Amino acid sequence: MLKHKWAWNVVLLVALVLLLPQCQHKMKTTEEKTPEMTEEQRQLMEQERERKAFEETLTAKKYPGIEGEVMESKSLKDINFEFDKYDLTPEARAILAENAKVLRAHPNLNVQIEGHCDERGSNEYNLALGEKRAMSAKLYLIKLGVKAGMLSTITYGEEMPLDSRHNEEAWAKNRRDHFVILSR
Amino acid sequence: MILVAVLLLTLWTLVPSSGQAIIYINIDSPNIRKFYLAFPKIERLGIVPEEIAKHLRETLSQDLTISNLFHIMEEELPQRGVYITEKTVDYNAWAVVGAEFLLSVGLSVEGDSITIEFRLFDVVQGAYIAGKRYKGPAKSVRLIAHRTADEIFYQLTGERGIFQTRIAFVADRTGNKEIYVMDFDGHNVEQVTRNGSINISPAWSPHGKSLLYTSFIRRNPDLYQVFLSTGNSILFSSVTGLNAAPDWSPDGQLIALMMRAKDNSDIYLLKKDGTNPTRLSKSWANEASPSWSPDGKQIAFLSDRSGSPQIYIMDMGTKKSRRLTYEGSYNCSPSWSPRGDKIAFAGRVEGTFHIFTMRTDGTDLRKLTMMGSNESPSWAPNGRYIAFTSTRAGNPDIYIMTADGGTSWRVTDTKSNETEPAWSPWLK
Amino acid sequence: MVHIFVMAILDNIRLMPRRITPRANVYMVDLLPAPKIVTPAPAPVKKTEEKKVETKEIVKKKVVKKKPQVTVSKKAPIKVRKEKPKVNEEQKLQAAINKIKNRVEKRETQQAEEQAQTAITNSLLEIWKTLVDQQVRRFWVIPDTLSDLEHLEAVIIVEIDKDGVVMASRFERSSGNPYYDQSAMRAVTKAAPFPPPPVGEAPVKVGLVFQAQRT
Repeated sequence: MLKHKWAWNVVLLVALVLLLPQCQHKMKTTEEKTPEMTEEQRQLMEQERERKAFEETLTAKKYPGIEGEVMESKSLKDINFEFDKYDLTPEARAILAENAKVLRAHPNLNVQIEGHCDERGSNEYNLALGEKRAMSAKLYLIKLGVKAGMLSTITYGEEMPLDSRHNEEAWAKNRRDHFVILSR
Repeated sequence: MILVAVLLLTLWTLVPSSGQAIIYINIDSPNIRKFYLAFPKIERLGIVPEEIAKHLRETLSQDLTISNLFHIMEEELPQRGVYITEKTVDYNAWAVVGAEFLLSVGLSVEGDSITIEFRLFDVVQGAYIAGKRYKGPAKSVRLIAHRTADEIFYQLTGERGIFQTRIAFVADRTGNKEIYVMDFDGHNVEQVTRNGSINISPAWSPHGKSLLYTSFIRRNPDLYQVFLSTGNSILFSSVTGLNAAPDWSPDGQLIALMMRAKDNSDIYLLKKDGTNPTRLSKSWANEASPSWSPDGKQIAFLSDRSGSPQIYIMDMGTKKSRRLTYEGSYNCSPSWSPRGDKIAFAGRVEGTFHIFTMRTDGTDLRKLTMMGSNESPSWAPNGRYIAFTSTRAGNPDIYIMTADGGTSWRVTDTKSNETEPAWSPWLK
Repeated sequence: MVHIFVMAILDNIRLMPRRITPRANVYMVDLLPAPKIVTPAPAPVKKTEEKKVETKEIVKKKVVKKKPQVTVSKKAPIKVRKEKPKVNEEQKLQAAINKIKNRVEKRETQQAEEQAQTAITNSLLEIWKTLVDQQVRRFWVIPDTLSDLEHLEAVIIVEIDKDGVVMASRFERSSGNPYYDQSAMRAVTKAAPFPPPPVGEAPVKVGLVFQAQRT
């Protein structure tokens, strides 16, 4: 009899090892089948998965001459603006809707919305315009259910262009809101 | 008989000297033109390095030209080989060639120390009107030339010259924007900030001893103050959001600047130590770029409350604002002339910017620049020149021009971008 | 966290004191022992205005007075001195009437001639004044810095002899701005000598009123 038990153990071990990668999957299916796993636990699992996926999208970013290191996420995309304007275009709203999903899913994040302008016009007035652009996005995101406390704004005016050339193409790129993660 | 004699005498003395009526003639419409100034070769009193004599002549000639007072006569001058002093000057010889004023300069060098003397003569009236001797280290040759120019300017106009003033500005020579200071004519450039961050909008304190500027060092547009004698910067105002476009009140007690209000930017006042921000302009619109009037009773500023950026003036007593600019769709960067009568600003015309001046009552709008895109006007302390940024030669550089836009001179000439000039107040 | 700390240290090192704008030690000595050109202090405006009015009126009055004087003094030689005796009563009367007629006619033509002469003298004077004005104005230069100072007025009295040479000049009134005053005096110095004045008498005194912007 013992001999058989030993063999069973070995077989079980081997089976476990082989089935390990599919463990989660198996667990899920068993969960679905068994109603004892709570909603909360399921949500936690989801969040964990999302968090890990989100981590994959992050890169660290250091701005030369500016204190601190921030994170940028591929999932938080820039929005652009028309010349001299701070109101949101339909494209901007669509992008913000996507960003909102991510932000709602990660309420622990501290996100800063940067407002930027192209180089034309007064440097000082462009600081104000950048601020307005950042605020536009912030207010819209709050409307979409993002927690207000996790959002802050900053203006860089025309001081941090993406493209330093002096033509329409560059200027269009520079008129933007950019999202950075201060902490999480 | 004696009585008669006495009577006659008294009558005689009572009657005006020639007993004759004065025929009055009204003279108006003078010629507003430059004086003819003869500026012969600088007399070398002893052995003098070529460099020093050259710098002296260049600086002095350029200053006198910028003064807009003189046609400088340098060719075919009389009294050659003579060191012209009050003892040797031959007024007739100079009058004959058409000179109205004569400037004689002598230079001597001993080791590292130089001595420069100048004498100014009024040829028309045959008078010696000014003379000074300066002694200093060799490297102060430009400074002495500037002092001489200031002295000459004062002798002929009664006004203080700007030849010893400086200009603060923003340049990206090191790859990022830092604050610099230079002589008004572009020499002696000194780097003031070295933090590798983004530094913008320098503003002088009324005594010229420090600059306020905005820097993003702490990931927020904060206001710093740097003392020029030490190069030390201190954090001056770091309200989260925005601390930018500072302007000291003429009495040095307050600073006007732009700060973030609820969801727009407004004009605020700070005490001279950077504390106690109080909101000045109250509107939902964006306000920027405050500029005090020289009597401290009004502030010019930019506001987009009408839908586009325009210049407004606020009365500090009533706190009421009135609009100044009605032409053009984008008017910004107001700068109040130290003479109090005019405001310079940048206005957009068909896509490019030009410098305009306008009287404070809204009349007499004048366009001063023609070529390139021109921004950030800043007045010299005597209100007769304006420094500004222009792209007329390619990348942005700093220029100065006479207040009527008649003549302009390029001050910086580099491959990097020089912007946001701030002309110093009277120094020392 | 560590790198923020390191950054802070680096920042502080950068902000350590370092001299900008080193002051060059320059010493200065005045070479001008001679006093500045003296201009009189500006007289109170009211008085001089009254003076001006007075002198103008005096000039006018004198001109007016001259006429009767001239005619009076010249009347005398008109007097017919010769009188012929032994004529008819009628002839006498006729002759007398004729004489009176002649006298009146002569007086009238004399008067007309004199009036014409004073008119000519006056217009000659006006022409001369215009010439002087033009000449002074040609040499009156003010720099740009003084051109926007309105209502400055300086008055210089110039004594001109019969050949147009300036014998003396002095300020009757300063504008209050010495540089403006100097520009006026320079104009006078340069403009001399003037065309000879038409008034054949003693040196002429001219008051040159320099007012850049006439209101």
